[in-house]
Amino acid sequence: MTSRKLIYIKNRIAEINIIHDVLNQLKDEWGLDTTVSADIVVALDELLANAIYHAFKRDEHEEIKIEFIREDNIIRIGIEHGGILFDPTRREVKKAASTLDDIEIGGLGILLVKELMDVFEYRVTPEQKNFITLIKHLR
Amino acid sequence: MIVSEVIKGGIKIVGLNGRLDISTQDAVQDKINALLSDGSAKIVIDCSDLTFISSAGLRVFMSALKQVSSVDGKLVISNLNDTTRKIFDITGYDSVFNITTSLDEAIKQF
Repeated sequence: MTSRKLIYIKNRIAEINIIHDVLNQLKDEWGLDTTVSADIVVALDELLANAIYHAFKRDEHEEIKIEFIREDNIIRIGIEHGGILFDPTRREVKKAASTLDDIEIGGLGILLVKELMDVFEYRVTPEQKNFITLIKHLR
Repeated sequence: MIVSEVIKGGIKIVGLNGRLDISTQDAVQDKINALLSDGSAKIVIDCSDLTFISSAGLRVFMSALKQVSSVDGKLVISNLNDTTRKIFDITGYDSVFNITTSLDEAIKQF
């Protein structure tokens, strides 16, 4: 049995709230445990914030397509948008240093995605759009 | 996101209630900046009601830590839940911040 939910949001930071609400719904509809839904919402919050901030021009109005698919033991998420092509999976990330002076802030969001998701992949669609695949195993 | 303030025994306790991410970071940053603008050196950030934090939220904590450190003060974080604590652990921020499991324990740090 496979279940799907497809969401379109505008490339506006406030629209990320919609994803938080959707994950709350899916938690109940698909019986996801709190840890799984929390991990997914963190990953989506980070990736959507990155896309909205960096992939589009200030006045550009575009949609971002997010598809959630529940299969037997996994949640598969596809994020597709037509912003500037960028592969976030290739960004080098590292944890914070232990001293305040050595802290580097950048890249923490991608570090979170890599740590919280079981699969984090990127490809360019035939229509020259960004497509990110996330998979979270249900254990 | 609601930011509250309690002063107890010379310690400023900043309570965060709600979600701290890119959509709320500016408002929260402004409020924390205002609370710390008097040069407060003893700060507890109580996260009992913090429901969500992203990397944008971590930047707010880091900014507060730098402000407090610049006046030789101390900042303690208390009451992270399992979800928010996980974000600190993954990013290594658990080793940067003084984190306690209760408000009482946080206050004892001063």
